[in-house]
Amino acid sequence: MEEKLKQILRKLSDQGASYADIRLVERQWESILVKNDRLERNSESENQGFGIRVLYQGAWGFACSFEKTPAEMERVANEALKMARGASTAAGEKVTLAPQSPVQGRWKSPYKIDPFQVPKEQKIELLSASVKEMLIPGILVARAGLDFLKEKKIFASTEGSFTEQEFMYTGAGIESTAVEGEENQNRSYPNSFGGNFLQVGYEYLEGLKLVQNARRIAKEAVALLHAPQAPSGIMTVILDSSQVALQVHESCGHPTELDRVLGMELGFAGGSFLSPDKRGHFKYGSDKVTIVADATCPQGLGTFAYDDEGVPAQKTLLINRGNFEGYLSSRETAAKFNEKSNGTMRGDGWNSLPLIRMTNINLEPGDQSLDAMIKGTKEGLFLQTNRSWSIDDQRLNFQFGTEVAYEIKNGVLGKMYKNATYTGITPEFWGSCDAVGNKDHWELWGLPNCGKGEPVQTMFVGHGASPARFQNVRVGVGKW
Amino acid sequence: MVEVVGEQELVHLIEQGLSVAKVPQVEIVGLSKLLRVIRFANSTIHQPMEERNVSFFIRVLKDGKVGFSSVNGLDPKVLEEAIKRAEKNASLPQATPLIDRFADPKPVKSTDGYFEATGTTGSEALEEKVKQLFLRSKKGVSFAGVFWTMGAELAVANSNGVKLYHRWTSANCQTVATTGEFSGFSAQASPDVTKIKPEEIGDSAVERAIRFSESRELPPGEYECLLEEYAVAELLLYLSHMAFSADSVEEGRSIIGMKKGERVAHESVSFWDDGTNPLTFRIPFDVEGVPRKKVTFINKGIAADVVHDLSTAKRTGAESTGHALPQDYSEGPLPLHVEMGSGTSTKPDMIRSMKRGLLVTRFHYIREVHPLKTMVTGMTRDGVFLVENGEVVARVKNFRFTESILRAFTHVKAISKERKLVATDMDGGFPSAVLCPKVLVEKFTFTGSTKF
Repeated sequence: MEEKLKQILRKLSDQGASYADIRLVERQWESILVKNDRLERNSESENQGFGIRVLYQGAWGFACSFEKTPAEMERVANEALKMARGASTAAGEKVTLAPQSPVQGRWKSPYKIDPFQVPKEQKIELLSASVKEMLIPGILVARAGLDFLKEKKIFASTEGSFTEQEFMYTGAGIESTAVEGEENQNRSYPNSFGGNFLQVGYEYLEGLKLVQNARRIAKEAVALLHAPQAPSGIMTVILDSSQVALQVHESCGHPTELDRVLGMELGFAGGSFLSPDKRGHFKYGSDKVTIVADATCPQGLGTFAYDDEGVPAQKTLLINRGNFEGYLSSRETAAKFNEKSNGTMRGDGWNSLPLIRMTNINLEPGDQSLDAMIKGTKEGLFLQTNRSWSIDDQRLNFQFGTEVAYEIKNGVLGKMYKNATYTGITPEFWGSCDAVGNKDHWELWGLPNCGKGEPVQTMFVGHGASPARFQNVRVGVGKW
Repeated sequence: MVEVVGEQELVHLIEQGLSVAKVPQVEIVGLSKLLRVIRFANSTIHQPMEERNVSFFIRVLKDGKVGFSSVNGLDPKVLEEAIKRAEKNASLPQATPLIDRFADPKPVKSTDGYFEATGTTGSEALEEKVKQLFLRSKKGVSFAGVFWTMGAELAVANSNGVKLYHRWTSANCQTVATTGEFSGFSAQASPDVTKIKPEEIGDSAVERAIRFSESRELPPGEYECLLEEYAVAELLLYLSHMAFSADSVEEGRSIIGMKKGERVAHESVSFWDDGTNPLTFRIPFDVEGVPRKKVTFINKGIAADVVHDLSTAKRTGAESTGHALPQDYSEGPLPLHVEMGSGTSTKPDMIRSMKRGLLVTRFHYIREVHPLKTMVTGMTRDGVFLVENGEVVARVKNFRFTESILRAFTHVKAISKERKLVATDMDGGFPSAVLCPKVLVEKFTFTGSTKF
């Protein structure tokens, strides 16, 4: 295969391509969902193909196909070149690539138990037992799901890079929905929207204790039906680790994507307030806030050895003690600043053009225990587990909702509230962060649904975070 | 011009698959697509691409148990392996059967949704169209956006004798024109690419971007709002996810299910789904081989029906409405061809009738806040304008809104006569679009503001 790919690449070079690469990707999915008394989803999917990216006179072309025959590979290569030629005649800035030494290597996700070898009966039994625990009076829908993805990727470029990588992703989650009259409330574990996802094997499920947490979340969902509406006003909030992870994702991960900053996503997802003139000079948050992009973080969904341009995985400082320091970059975007790529280009399978994607965007742990943060709060809310999220196209004005909120009064957790929301402006919000939980509270979260690009690519990204406290936050938005 | 598969080969592969299956009830769906996408930004073509793919989705029914698998490619042996996996999955313990049997053959309304020009327009020709759009720049405005076309084929066959094939096309061009400080948006979608006029799209987006040279900051609050079709389509898309499917009713999150027969919107408001309307990206049957029925969700303000697949129909005693999607794409049935009924007004008439309000081009990043209250939050984007005493008088900085969609549609003042097809998704081989008018609502709640 290696020789075959090299032949195609050589031919593209001979035809005038200044750069080209090929990715071959094979994916195997298993997805099981038990909903109440039925096996709602029980699927196995396989998907494979290849994509060829060509740079010709400063313009890109990309074509891809499921059919890996020599004739089709040649046709696809020609199509990609043709598109690049056509694009090169349009006005506009020409693409140059930051230098990158060729790489050769193999990498595989470390894991103990291959989930695809675990009998399905065992998986269904685990999910059914979790659902059974959740189906208490007041619960209309109990869901428990597992997802496993194995991906093999081969990358080759005209510069001589050739890498082979194999990834194993495992995800699991349970959710209870309680309904009464016009009220509908959810509680999830370990996170909402399908649970948590890591680059691990089936061993992850053994420590997750889905069944043991099932009754608790069902009871909480039922209790929420009669809980008072979360208050409105300006107050202190403490976000749990999973909500901090999403806050980092939306308000730091996306705005530090250099393609967004340079207007390359303006037609769809939008731009970024973190313009180049702010780099090194802009107070993004308080001195408690340090955020890194770490593609080397063990078990993260954004962990790999090489990105889809053959750039080795790196750990990059984005926010250093509140100061805006760096971007997520590609070879194309880094070249505009005479820098080298920090290796964040990934495509969603064989049929997607690689884009700058978050790796593992982690909030570094602070020095406080969660207890100390609560005890140090006179009046506020402890917000847990995301329920909704929205942010503007410059990544400034955000609004989140959480599944549950708890009152904090004089340093003690009090009553439960429903329908909690909070809103803010990114730098003001992170500037109000006065405490970040210590490493004992730091957890790695995996988001399997980060959307970007057209057609929309769904990427697996990771976020490490501890609970964190923020002052003077506006809570309770909208007319309830 | 490369074709993906073609009717003969696609149907032949499926029939071959049915013949090798070892169980009496099998359903095989073939979905092929040829997608061409020209993405542009900073008035440069930066991400042109072409994708050729064919996928098969297999379901097996054995002793009331359903097994599912999917695979891509045209290798009969690979398809056979996938059928074996589905058979194995149908042997697993399942307490309650999802369905009793696959669909039986029913007459399907013949519709030709395939436009040769769309299917055969190559990437170079699309790039030329985008270059025409770039020429519409004024005052240094630059363009970002996408022009895509898709030709797709859907074939469904099962052991009960269902054997269906349909091919269709879709195309969409949309752009954000930006001065660096201000932006404007415009788009056109059609099954026929020749109906899409890049020049008009460029001019319209530029007009919105350069209309005023500065913008005013207004306080959040309740405003009368004229929502352009793009904004209406975004609201309808989210409402359809929240409330228009049978599983949303089962899960207690659908206002349509909770208030069936009751008034939930203004009497001038009707929403429905019609997969056979020639103005949309029509697909006359679903992946279970069931003909798509027209389903009305809200009829003159009254909550009515929701869409079903075979599974939700079995559980609720209803009939499938032909809105199933493959398990890989969706957990339950979904409408892909949502429409809102037109009114009698025009945009100039609606603006003239406004004393003080906002003209909203589009929304951004809408997310559900509370399903039964149909409450969502989101942002305005790419052109919000102040209307005073019947005239557009200023550009306004963007707002965040937190509002119940049906509360907004309860306070409708006027609806335009003209409707527009707004593409909402191109992925997965099932491009969805909303066909809707402009809507003037008496009040819409903005809960936050921005400095841009």
